[in-house]
Amino acid sequence: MLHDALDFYATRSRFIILDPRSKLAGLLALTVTTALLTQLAPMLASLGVSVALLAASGLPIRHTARRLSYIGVFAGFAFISVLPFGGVWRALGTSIRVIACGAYVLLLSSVTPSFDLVRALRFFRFPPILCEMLIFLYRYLFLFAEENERMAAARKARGFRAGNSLLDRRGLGILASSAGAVLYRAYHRGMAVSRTLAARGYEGNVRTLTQFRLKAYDLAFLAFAGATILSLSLLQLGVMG
Amino acid sequence: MTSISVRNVSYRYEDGTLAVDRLSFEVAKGERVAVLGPNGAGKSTLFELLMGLRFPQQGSIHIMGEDLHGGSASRLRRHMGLVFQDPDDQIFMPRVWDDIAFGPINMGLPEDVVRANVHRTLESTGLAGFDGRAPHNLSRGEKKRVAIAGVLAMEPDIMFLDEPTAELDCQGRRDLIGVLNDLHTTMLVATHEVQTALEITDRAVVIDHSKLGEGTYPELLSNKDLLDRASLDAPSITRLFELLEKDGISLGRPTSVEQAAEILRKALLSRS
Repeated sequence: MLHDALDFYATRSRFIILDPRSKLAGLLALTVTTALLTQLAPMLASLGVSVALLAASGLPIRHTARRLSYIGVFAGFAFISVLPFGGVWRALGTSIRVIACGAYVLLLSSVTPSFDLVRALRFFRFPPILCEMLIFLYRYLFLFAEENERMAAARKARGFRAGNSLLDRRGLGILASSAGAVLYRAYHRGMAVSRTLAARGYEGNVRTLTQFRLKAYDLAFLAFAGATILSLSLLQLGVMG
Repeated sequence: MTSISVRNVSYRYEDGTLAVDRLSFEVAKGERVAVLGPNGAGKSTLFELLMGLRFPQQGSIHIMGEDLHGGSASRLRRHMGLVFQDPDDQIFMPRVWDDIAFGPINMGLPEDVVRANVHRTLESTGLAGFDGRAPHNLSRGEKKRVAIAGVLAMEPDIMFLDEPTAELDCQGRRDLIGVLNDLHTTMLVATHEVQTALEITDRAVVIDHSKLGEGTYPELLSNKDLLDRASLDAPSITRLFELLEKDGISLGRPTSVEQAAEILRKALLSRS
């Protein structure tokens, strides 16, 4: 299940030894730098670094490959969107940047327990309302998925089959009302979840038992990220390569 | 000492539905009381009012002598724990251990106290060895126990349990009642099952939005009119003795199979 996978690998990853703040700072800096690149060579270099980091993290290949394939869909969409206006090379460059940035974010979210990540965001003065939204998104993603699964099973149990044709107006109508019902149910479930959180003492401050402490590993990781950003910048400016 | 005091409390939802109507009752420290009533009687709303998750439009609630209002709710909630009817609403974290630790961490307890609380609670709720499991893969009964453990780890003085045995199989129900009967806190249990109330609590408040009655089980079970008005069924064993009474065989109104066996044993021995 999605729920199991989200934090399951974080505690088993090799990068769990790193302080969440150094992971957040290092990987976000790499993401932003990559997003700003315009030359193909540094883009490919950044893609190589992101894949190497994913490999070094110890995340299972299947888990990583499946999530990278989702990013690939976005990259494909970006390629198609840019192609008519920017040509093949620009479209390719955009896709590579999307995959590289997605890989850094995937790495960050996969190797850092969700609540530690939100705490690290708060450390960097990320707005509290956005942190709270992230926490609720974390829980409500499953609500949507679970409600949708239940309703799909209920439809199937009563003989509903749809998706054979876009002209199946009845089928599309049923799917549309199901989507509305999923939102409605998820809203009610969401309200119940927020009450249970309040009942268990949650008042908007994310607390975990993880002690934030920078160690030699963190300094090494930040130095690596800094050196990579410098190299990518030099490649971009044509000083290197 | 009074733990909970509810005085003339009313609550109406935004859509106009009257959930709780001029309700009053008291619960003493250490007492175990059931809130009995049919589905939709306002039991869950009452518990949310008692937890300070909603506030009554009329009347007042006092918890351990202190008035419960917007300013005091957060502080008073530290002394109370609510186990919601649906454990899926309550279970939030990806591992059983993390979910049980969620409340104590929010209370700002030191790490060693959190770890000790979680360890003790896992043991007392029969969840030892479940700490690394994903809650969403557990059975309904196990989820219920995780939800109870999550509240127990906060060491509340008062516990509210909303339909604790709903949707449980026989074994899950027995296990859960065993866990609850080992607790020594003030406890309020909302249920529509008289049998469950009998097995966990000492007396009951019967509601259907407003209060219909209050008392010990022998008193309540002898009031057929009250049970009918609240759409409640007496336990099967009590009904059997009621039927015998109608036929002129008056042996009393047992509330459990054990009591019934004792009555029958005495009756048969006295006859022989």
